[in-house]
Amino acid sequence: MRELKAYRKTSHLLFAEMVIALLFFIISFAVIIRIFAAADGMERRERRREQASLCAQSIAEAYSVSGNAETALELVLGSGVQYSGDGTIGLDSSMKPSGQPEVTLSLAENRRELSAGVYSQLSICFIADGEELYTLDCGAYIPEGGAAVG
Amino acid sequence: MAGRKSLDSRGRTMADTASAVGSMLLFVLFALCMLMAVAVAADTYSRIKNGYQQSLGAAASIKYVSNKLRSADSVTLLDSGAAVVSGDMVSVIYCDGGLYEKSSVIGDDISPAGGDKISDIDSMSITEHDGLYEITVSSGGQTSSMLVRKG
Amino acid sequence: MDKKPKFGSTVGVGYISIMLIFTVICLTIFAVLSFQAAYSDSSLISRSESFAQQYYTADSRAKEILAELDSAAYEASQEFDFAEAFVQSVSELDGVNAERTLGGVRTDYSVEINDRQSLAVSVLFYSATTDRRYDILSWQNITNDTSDDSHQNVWDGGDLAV
Repeated sequence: MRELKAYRKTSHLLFAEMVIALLFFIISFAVIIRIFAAADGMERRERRREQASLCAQSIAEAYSVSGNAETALELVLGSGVQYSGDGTIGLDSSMKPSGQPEVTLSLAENRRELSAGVYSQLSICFIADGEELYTLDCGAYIPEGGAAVG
Repeated sequence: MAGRKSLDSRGRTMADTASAVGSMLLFVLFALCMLMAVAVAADTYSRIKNGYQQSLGAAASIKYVSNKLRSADSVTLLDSGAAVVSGDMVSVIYCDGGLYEKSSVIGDDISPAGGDKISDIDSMSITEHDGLYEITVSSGGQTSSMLVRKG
Repeated sequence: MDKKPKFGSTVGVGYISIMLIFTVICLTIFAVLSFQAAYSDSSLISRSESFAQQYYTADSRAKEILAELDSAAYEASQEFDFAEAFVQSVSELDGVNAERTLGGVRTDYSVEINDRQSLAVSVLFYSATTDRRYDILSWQNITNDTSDDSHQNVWDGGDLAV
């Protein structure tokens, strides 16, 4: 009889331990899962930012050769780039034109006519989830006559 | 009376056995959940770590090569997708299971073999079009490319 | 006689706690390592982004100087002596060296990218009227001279302190 009581006591203790352990696990898991989510979110964002950085630099290089934003986009993203209503371009996570965009690319060009040519500046901006992902400002100089220069 | 007592005792024993089996099952379930949680955590960590290494491999290689091209006095592209850049020294940048660079003094014969390893990548090619060099690097199933204008 | 009733063996108290502590430690280690990997990735990309910004700022500035030089060359080409007028105009620009060469004027300037690198540009402006006024001879990244910083503290051959 005493053993039966001792066994039941152990059994109750085990259940109590399991309940406390589960509670502790739930609390610590909630904290740990937040750290994982933050790390995962940061990793995804950085992946996109890196792709955006490569794409922006490619656009900047193509722009400095052509001095024309549309030509630069064509060289980087291929022909037939679709502009949305507000003049932005929808891209997927690998910075290719997409109908269901994850990232939007907007360009702002500022041209300055000089006596011997046109000096222009292009501001490249990538936006993801309503936040600025990557921006880059670059310049191009095209002498009169349209010769492409460095 | 004696029969009832024996039935009670048998009933209790059965309930206790059921409880023991139940608690054992719960323990096993608990242990499985813990194992699963650790496995998922390890998988997430390895995914993030792999992403980091791929990023390091592909992007760092592209940036390294683009800097080399920007600093070069002259660039010669080879059929294998490699490039020979001349500056104070002549360097050949090529891919052979990784990004390699071999430097030597100007005038020496230079071939894409026996260089120093720069980073881990699967493939690399440097091509030329529209007055631009296109550097394409693949690492861990991810392909990245970048344009660099000719100097 | 003294037979003890058996109630079936169950899991001892404490095993669950040990298992839980082990799991939580494992999860915490993985979570911290994941965050650290993502954070390292982020700082690496930030550094690379910062260099790209510096490079394109310098590149834009170099192109702006090129535009100014080309405007000066365009105006000088309307003068009697192109080289004279152009060199005169260029002397008013800070940090640009002009040197007369066969066929035109060679200009050299550099724009600092950061402490360690600069963008060195060399452009040849033609005195004779051709289809193009200039040719870019070089547009390349150079490493700044850091010989003062890299001075090694080596024995200069003097007496040894005993």
